Amino acid sequence: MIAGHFGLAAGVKVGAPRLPLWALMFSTFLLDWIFIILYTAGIESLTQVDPTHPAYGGALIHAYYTHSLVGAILIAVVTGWLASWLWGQRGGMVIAAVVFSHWLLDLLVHRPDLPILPGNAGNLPLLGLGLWEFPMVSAILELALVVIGAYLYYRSAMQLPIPADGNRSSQRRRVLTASIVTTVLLLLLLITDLLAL
Amino acid sequence: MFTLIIMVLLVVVAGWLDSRLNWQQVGQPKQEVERS
Repeated sequence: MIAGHFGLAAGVKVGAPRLPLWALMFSTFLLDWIFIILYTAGIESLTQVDPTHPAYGGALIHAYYTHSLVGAILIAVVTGWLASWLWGQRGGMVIAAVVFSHWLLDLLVHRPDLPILPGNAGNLPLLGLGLWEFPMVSAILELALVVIGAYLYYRSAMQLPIPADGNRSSQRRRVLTASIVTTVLLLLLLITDLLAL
Repeated sequence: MFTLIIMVLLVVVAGWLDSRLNWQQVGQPKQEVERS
């Protein structure tokens, strides 16, 4: 799941309109941003269920630090604490929740590859409800997250007050531009993920 | 690779377009909005 994470972040604007979209988008994917760094460093890795035919939902990650339950909670708490300096206590809590939402959505779709403790300490059972075994269902869920998130973003933006130094039509143009570009990029992201590009 | 590029575009471009909207005025009384 990729686009679904970003769709959720766009929808969060309804409840936290003062948090910038870039921060929500960055936070929702933070576990994977860190994973990419650790992957490059050879600390975490990724394999395909069918190595000869990489496909949507066909990945098994070996991300025993970034995607462990405790690791994800720690990353969320630290990020939320840092964010609270910029956007206050409530803003920090929202950012922390958005960071951790990544793990929850991954829990839903991943095959059991998410450890509980960092480094898979204690060899506890790996978690994952495996919705990726049913790619059509998983894709529909992602599409729903994208569509609902984009709509909530658009609706929130349309309800913004008209600035004193602007007029209604320029405000509307900016809202439509932001909403359309965000929606198109979210849908493109879903398509590239579905096609495993 | 395409997916990674679009993710970066989402954060940067959508984030920039969003920053041009007056989200900071949400919840402020109307008079304050007009004064600010």
